[in-house]
Amino acid sequence: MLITSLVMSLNQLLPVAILLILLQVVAKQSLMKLLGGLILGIGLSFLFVKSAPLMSPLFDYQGLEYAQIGLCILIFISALYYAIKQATAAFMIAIISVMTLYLSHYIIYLIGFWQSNEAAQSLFIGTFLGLGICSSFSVLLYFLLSAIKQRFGLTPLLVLLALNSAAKLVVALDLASQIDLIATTVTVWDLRDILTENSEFGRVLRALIGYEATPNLTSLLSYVLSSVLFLSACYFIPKSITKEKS
Amino acid sequence: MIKQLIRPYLYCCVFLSFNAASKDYRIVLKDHLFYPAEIVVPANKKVRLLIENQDSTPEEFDSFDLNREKVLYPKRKSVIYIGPLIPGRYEFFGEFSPNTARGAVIVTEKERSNANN
Amino acid sequence: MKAINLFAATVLIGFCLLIPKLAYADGIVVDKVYHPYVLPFERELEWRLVSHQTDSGNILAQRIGLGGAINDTMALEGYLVGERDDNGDFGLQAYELELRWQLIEQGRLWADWGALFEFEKQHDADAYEATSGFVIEKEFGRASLTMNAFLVYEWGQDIENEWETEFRAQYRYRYLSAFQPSIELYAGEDFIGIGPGFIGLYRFEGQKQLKWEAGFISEISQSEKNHSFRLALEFEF
Repeated sequence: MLITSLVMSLNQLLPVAILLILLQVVAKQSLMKLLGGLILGIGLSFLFVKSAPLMSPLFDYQGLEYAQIGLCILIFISALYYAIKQATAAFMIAIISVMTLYLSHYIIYLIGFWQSNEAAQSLFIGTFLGLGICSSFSVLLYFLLSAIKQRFGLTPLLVLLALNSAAKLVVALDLASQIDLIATTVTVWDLRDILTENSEFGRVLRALIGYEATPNLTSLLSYVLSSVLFLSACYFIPKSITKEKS
Repeated sequence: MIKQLIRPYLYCCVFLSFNAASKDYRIVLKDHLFYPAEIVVPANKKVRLLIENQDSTPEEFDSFDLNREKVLYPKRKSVIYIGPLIPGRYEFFGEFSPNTARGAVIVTEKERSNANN
Repeated sequence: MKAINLFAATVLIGFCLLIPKLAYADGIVVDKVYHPYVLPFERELEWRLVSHQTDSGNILAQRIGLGGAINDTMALEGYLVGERDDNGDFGLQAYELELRWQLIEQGRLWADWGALFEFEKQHDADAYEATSGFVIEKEFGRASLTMNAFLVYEWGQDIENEWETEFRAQYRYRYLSAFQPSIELYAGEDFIGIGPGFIGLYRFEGQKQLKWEAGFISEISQSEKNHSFRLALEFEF
C-alpha cells in the first residue's frame, strides 16, 4: 500500500509539477501567489471530488468527462494567455485547473482506502514521500530550465509549454472518444517496444510533452496543429502589440 | 458549447472513422481483480465496454494502450468506448491496485460471440 | 546555480557514464551512495529499505545497522539484512560488516576521497561477498557530486564464484540542509537506473543528528516497468 500510494502520488503530482515549473520559468510569480494558487488548487480538487456524485449523472452519465474536457481546454487557453501576456490570473487558472484535473484521482484513492488505521499510516507515509520525491524532481527541473532560458532564451521553453498544452487537448480528445462524443481513428504507430508509457521514463515524457506510444490520427493531427497554433500566437501577437504601440 | 468547439475535428474524423454500431462487452471488478482478465473484441469496430465495480472501494480503470482512464465508483457500472482498433493486445490495469487488477483487450480480425447485449 | 557549474557537472556525469558500461553485478544494485566522511567519536544507528518492483513482483530488503568511529578516520558498522521475496516471506537474509575510511581531509585536494570495505555472509546459505572500492565527492558551488566505484567478489558453495563491479553516483543541490534534492545513478549487471531523490539532516544538540534519504530509481536499460524505491534513516549520537 505504501509503494502503491507513493507511485500513485508521484504519477498524479508529476503533470502538475511540470506545468507549474514551466510557467514559473517562462515568467516568475511571487511565492505568495504561487502558494495561493496551490492552496486554491487543493481546495478545488476536494470540491471536485465531493461534487462528483452530483456531476456524474448529468448529460446521460457523462457529466464528469465533460467537466474534465472543460478543464483540459481551460489549461490550454490559460497557458497560452500566460505565455503571451504573463498575467497572474492566467497562471492561477492554469495551476488550479491542472491540480483539479489530476489530484482529484489521488484524492478519490485516499478517501476510498482511508478506512483502516494500518492503511491510513501507509497512505500518509507514501503520500509524504511521493511529495518529497516530486519536490526534488521539481527543484532540479526548475534549475535545468532556468539554465536553458539563460543560455538559449525563451524559445525552447515556449516550445515545451506549447507541447505540454497541446498534450492536454489530446487528453480532452481521448475523454471525448471515451464517451463516444467523437469518433476515433485507428492507431498510427506502435512504439511500445521502444518505450512504453508504463515505464518511468515514458511517464515523465508523457507528463512533459504528452508522449503516446499508440496515438491515433485525430490525436496526432490535433497535437501538431495546436502546438503550431500556440507557438504562432506566442510569436505573432506580441509583435502586433509592439507594432501598434510604435 | 463543447460540441461546437470540436466540430472542425469531426469533419476530419468523418473521412477517416469507422462508425459501426457498438456492442456491449462486460467486465466485472471484484476483490480488486478483473473478470475476465482477457476480453476478445473485433478489430476495426467501435466497442462499448461495460465495467461493473462490485467492490466497496473505488478503482481507476487505466490503459495507456487504449488511452482510456476512468474512475469506477463502488457498486456502480461505467461505460467506456474503445476502438476502432487494429489487431493486437492492449493492456489495462486498476491504478489503485496495480499489482492485482490487470487485464488485456485482445483485438482479433475474426468476429467472436463475446458480446452481451 | 551558475551555468558553468551545471555544465561541468554534466560533463563529469557524462564521462562517468562510460564507467557503468563495465559495471557488472547481480541482485539489487540500488542501495545508498556513500560519502567519504567520518566524524571522530561518531556513533550511529541506521535503517535502510529498498523496494524493487517489476511486472513479476516485488522484492523488499531492509537492513538495520549499528556502528561507530574506531579512530579519527575509520568507522565500522555491523548490519542485519532481511528480505521479503516474491512469495511474501520475510526473514533474516544476511549479516554484513562495513568499514568506511576517510583517506584525505575534507577540502585538502580537488576532491574528497574515501574507501569502503564490506564483508557479507548469507544467513542460510554458504555464500559470501566482499566489496572494496573508492568513494569520491566534489563540490561545485552549491551542488555536490558523489561517486562510488566498487569491486565485488562473491564466493561459496551455494553461489557462483564471480567478480562484479558496481558504480553509483549522486548529484545533489544543497538547497536547504533539511531538503537537498538529488539525482542518483546506479549501475551493475544488466542494470542502469537513474532517478530523483532527496537527502536531508536535522541537527539536535551536540553531535546528535538525524539524516534521511529517499530515492526513486527507474531502470533505463529495459523498456518495461522496473523501479526501485529506497529509504534510509540514520541517527547519529
